Amino acid sequence: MNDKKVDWGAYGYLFPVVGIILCFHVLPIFYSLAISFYEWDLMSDPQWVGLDNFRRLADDPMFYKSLWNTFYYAMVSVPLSIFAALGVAMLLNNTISGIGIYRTIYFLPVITSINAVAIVWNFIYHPDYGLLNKLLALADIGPRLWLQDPFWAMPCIILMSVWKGLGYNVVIFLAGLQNIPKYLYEAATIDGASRSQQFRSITWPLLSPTTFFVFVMSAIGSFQVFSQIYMMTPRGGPMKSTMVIVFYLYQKAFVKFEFGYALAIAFVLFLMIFGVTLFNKLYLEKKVHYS
Amino acid sequence: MPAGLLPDMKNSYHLVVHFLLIVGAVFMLFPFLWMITTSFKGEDEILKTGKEIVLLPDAWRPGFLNSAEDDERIRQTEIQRKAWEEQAALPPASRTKRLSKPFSTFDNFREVWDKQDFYRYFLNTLYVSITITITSLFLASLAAYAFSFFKFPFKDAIFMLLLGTMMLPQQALLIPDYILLSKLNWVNTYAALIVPWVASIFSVFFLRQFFLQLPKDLFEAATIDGCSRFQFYYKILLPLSKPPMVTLGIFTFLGSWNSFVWPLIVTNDKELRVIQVGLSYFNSESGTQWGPLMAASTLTILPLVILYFFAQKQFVESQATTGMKE
Amino acid sequence: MLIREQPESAFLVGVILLWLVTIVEIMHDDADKRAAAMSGIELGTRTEVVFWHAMGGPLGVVMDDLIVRFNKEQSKYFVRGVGMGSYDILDKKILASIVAKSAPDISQNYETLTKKLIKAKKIVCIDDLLASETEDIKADIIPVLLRNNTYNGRLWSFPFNKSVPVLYYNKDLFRKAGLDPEMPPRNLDQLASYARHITGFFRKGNGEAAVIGFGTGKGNIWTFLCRLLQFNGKMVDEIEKKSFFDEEPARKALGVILDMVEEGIAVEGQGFDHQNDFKSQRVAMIENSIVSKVFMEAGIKFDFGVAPLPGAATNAIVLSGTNINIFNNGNPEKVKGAWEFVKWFTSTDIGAEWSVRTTYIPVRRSSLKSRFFLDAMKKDPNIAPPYVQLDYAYFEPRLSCWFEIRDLMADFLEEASIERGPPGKYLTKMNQEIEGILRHATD
Repeated sequence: MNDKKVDWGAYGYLFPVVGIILCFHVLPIFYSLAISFYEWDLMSDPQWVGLDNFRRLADDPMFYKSLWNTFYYAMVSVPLSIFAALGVAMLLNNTISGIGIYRTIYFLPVITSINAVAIVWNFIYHPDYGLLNKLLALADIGPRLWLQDPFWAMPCIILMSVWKGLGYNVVIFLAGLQNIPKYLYEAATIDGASRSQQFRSITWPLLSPTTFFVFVMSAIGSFQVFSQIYMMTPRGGPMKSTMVIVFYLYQKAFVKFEFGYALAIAFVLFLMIFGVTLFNKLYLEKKVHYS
Repeated sequence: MPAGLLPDMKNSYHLVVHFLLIVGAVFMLFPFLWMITTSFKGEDEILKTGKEIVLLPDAWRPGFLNSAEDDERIRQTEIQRKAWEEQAALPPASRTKRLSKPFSTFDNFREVWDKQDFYRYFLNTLYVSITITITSLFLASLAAYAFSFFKFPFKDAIFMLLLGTMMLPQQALLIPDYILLSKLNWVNTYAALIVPWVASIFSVFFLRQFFLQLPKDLFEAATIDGCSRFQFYYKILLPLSKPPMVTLGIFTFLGSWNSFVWPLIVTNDKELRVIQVGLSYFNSESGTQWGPLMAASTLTILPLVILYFFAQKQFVESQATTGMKE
Repeated sequence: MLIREQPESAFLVGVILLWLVTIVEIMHDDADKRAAAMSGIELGTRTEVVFWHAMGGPLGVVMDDLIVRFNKEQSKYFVRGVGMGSYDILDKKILASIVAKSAPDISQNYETLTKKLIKAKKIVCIDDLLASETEDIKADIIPVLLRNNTYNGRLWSFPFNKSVPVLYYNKDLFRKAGLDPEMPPRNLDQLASYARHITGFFRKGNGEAAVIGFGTGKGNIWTFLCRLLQFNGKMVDEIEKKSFFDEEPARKALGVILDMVEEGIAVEGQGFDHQNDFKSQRVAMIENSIVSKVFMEAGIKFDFGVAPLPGAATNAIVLSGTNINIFNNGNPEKVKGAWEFVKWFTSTDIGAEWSVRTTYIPVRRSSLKSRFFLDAMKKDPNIAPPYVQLDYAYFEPRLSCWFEIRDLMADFLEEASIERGPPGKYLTKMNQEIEGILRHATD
């Protein structure tokens, strides 16, 4: 390679990509930080309010409710997804016939549009005509309001989200499981270890990089949940039980046109995600077993 | 499969595994089945509050599966159909009653495709997704080419910076982008749907990793022979890059077809709506027409499912590799 | 040959062909839609007036029809109506358009947006336009509509599509239950006793109710406010920053429905469920907007009646719907054209036709006495009942924080529906929070 020659033409090749990224993905971030110090509804002139938006946010009960709802969603859906996906992956990891077909079926919900899927689940959860209540009726369990019930609305959304994302995590766990050398299991069996012992001492530790990865990605994704809420509980749910942060942000910005306030929320969300990523990198990753 | 288990235990173990997997598979598939069968049902079939679970629409169900209620409903529908046909046969002036046309199998789809403009939404989405896919692959390959083969100042710094942008939260971008688009007068245009998405850092990253694995002397040998930089890109690099390009293409197309929040914010007119946005508006505007809603949902995911069954391997790989960014 | 060797290239070519076909189809579709919008009229030297509305479905058909008629009847202006699908989208579009300096010439808005537009100086004051009219239009406008559009003594917007709530009832079920189909309940006590009778009459052998007497929507603020006024209550005092949702009238307004649901003679549905229940004859009477008649009619297979909303201590209803704003885009010709259209649209005869075909209230008193209207009433007796309510019609507060208050009310009323506790439990807290919002409000 001719080290001395500089390819200035490279900038030309990079220009479209870098230009668009700067324009639509980078500079707007700085702009948004700036706007969070104003109150603006796009029609009149922006009004400087300094830290007022953040002060209002600190006093805003709905903001705290949306934080709580988001945490509730994250703390239930993430572990549930991980254990369900791990379970399925472990079942698939036995060299059984038809693994391709199973994988295809489990992965199908992942590629389908969240909106279409949300509508179908909406119908399944319908108190009068929905499948779920009819199934429960077979077991003589009374009908529930599901998405209209403040207690059940969030669990319903969690169930649907876990259903949709299952296949994705299954594929990742499967790859991780298949990376564990078989001879380790054979040796353990010869030594007389039971299956649960094998899981605890071989599978779980060697799988931890994968588990860690799935955990971090799922956690970050769960903080940003939006589409399901928008499609299934468009006003934030019964007694606002499904009002999550991104949905609150969307309402403030695109329904009430309080852009400054909405961006203050976005800023806080960003800090949260950054904090979680940092926490994971510094603390949790120490517990991960890299061979 | 841990060795050392007795042969007959192996078989029953396998049976249990299969059983559990099949139960799970049913759980995965049943909503889709429910969606498709409901889309072929008429309103009176759907809006039943009875205890029984009826999967198949009346038109498809063999008679022996009918309950008494089903028989009665089918009978009533026949009576209504005869009455309507009678009226329809008369010239409009001499019709005595104003009856509504009885339901026929594809009515929900017709309603959605024609009257609810899903044809247009479909066209829009196809146009936008194909444009984004082809353009972003092209631009990303150019950028990845530069990062892999050229030498220029700040190369690594720029690359790291670009990678860093993947971590920025999408929500914080929505608002300033919307304001920017308003000022550009791009709100409600195809440009707003396409332009911001033709630069995909992920594609750049993916292709760069692939290019870096190619033999290094390839580039040298070609340029020494007098090949221009662009010729090398066009004649040698691109043909070699088919596998990752296909994977990326599928991934990009899928993402674009399913994209929802951005188009929701930047477009309002019916003529500009992509299929996800159209579906969500249809959902809120006709919240209780379950038949057409299910038909609309089916149409929305149908192309993806067809593509999926033709290219399963690439789909799964593309989604799995996007995950393994670490 | 080539395709077999290079399947990817063939695929790529196929994709590009598909792309091209798609583009052609889109352009074709656009051209079709444009032609349809022009409806055979040449633009020529006409001034184009852009009208953004949210009339969809059967309402949109009437709207389009009238716009075409206006364009054909004169040759100075061409009104281009653009249907936005919903008020939400309309609001968003207007906002974006003002930033991009491409606002329409006419739009329909709620009062809260009108106030914003007045403040931002984007709309024309209708009084200014009326000044050069020979006819005294204001004297002919229905008073409550006039008041609704007057801000600080001046008329800033023009009435357009206001609707009233009504009671729909199933005459067939009435007959079967031995009730006189021409005597719907006139007050809430009668409503309850009718509902009781009907639910009991159709009760099945096993105790299950086949038909419920009365249905409404969960968290229906509109009719809650109507009942509040019917019990002689008040909503808010904008100047004193007080609200009255915890007083006796409010408790009665909420309690009357909760009691009926508790007794099992009424049911509260989500969204449009009560409408579906009425159509499928599972519910005998529902309260709903008069406009829903246009949407429900086609699917109703039984004899039904429309009646004024049952009153209580007194009669009162609240209006719903929007008004017209004419934008000041710096082009006086367009403003003139916009005003000509609005005048024509709300004139005696056209206004009567609009009203009959869409059930919205006509703007002018003379429309109610016009030939068209009287003929229509003879043909369909269901047309008349909504209009007697104009004598006691009111409108909701026009505060800019009113939608926020409404949202809050919806949450509390929904909670009350779900838990079915004593009204005071919810109204006390609701009132406190509303007063909190009022205190922070600037107008």
